[in-house]
Amino acid sequence: MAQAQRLEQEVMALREEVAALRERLHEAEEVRRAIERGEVDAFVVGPRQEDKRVLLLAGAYSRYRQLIDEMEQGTVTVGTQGEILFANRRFADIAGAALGELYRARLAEYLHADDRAAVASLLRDQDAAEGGIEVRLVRPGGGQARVRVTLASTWEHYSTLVVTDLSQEEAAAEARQTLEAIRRGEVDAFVMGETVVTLNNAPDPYQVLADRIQQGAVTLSARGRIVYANARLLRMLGVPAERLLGMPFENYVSLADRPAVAALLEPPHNGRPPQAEVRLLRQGAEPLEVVLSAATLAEGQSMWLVTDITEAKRHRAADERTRKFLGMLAHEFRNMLNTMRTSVDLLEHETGEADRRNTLDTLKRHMQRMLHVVEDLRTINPKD
Amino acid sequence: MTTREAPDNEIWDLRLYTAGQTAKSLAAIRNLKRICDKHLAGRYHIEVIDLVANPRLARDDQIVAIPTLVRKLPDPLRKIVGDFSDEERSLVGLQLRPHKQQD
Repeated sequence: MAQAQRLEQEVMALREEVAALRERLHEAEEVRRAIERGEVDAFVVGPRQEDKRVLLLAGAYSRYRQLIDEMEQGTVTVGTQGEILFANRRFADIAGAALGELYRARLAEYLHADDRAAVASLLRDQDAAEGGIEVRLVRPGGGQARVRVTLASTWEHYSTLVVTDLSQEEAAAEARQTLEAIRRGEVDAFVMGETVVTLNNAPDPYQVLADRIQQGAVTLSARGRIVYANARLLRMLGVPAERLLGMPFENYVSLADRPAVAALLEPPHNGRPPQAEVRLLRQGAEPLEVVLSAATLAEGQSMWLVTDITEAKRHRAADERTRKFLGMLAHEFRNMLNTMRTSVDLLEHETGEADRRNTLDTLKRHMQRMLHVVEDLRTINPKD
Repeated sequence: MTTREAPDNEIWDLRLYTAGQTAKSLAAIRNLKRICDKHLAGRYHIEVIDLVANPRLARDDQIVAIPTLVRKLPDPLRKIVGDFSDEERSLVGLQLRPHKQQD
């Protein structure tokens, strides 16, 4: 019986405790709503009863409160234990949290683990980072925000930080920079979805032509640096445009031929030769023999046509070999035909059977030899 | 904006977005190489991405205008729009020079 009574008393006590906790929770909710409505102008802060102090936001400060709530930068006031005492709407936006949640939290909960020490250090020593520090806020719903945190003020029991969202700041700076570049005329193409639109949609017709011709073409500055190279020259040298542009052209010419290139860069009135035969250096390949033909453009630039003569030289050598071969062949045939004609003459005048047979054998032998030569010729490649 | 001196062992990883061989794209390649040779000799790597050939690659770095340079390294990532014809402004953009005081 006594045990049942004791149990009932305990249950009653627990019910009362739950009721009291409900009341406190209700009160806390009321406080939170009042804070959100801006109806609270002072807080009692401090970890222990004897240390409690009153933090005033009221009176003359209320208009600042309104200003702070509406400003574009986030601001957060933290107590000595890092607990959030106040945060404006902007800070809540950047941190991706509801204002009510923030009042129950510590600032560290919203900071990237690697950045917590830096913020703690900033709160300890104002002089340590005058321009503020860049840290990451971790949003409860996922994602991060890069922010710059500066210490605005420090009092004995709390410090106020100003938080600037760098991603927005950077996006605005980028947009401004793009506009400025367009105004300066430094942009000539835009990306629209997956299409690139060039401002001069019809490319320079001469450039198109230069890109399609079978000869190499290169435009050089007055000092001989490559300003433009067409597709054919890029293939000849076996290098991409980005490696070629801006480089001195002579870097791609054999050492022995560089004086000839320098002479070609001279203005026409200085006795510039019309063209030069040089060897172009190629990475991982034999040098290429080319003829450079120069033409002067505006502003001291010059354009050179680069003609690959390796092929032409090969053709010339092959022609020479064919000519020699044909000469030798004609000589051989003439010798054989002469011998055969002599044999036929002899046959007309010879009367002895044995002599006629000998001459006929010679004739047959030479005919057989000619037939072999003709057979061989049918299998020969004239380029060999 | 912060001022920085590039340490000798710091490698600069740059990505230049171009549109084929337009005048500004060619100028950007040429000028950027000249600036890098002068201020970052032996410590830079430029990757040129031709968006005419591969327009989808614009999505990675959210490119709008061409030419645009993206500084991948050193951190933080930075974008510079233009053809680098003004060396001083380019150095400020790359954070190799202090920013001039704004009016």
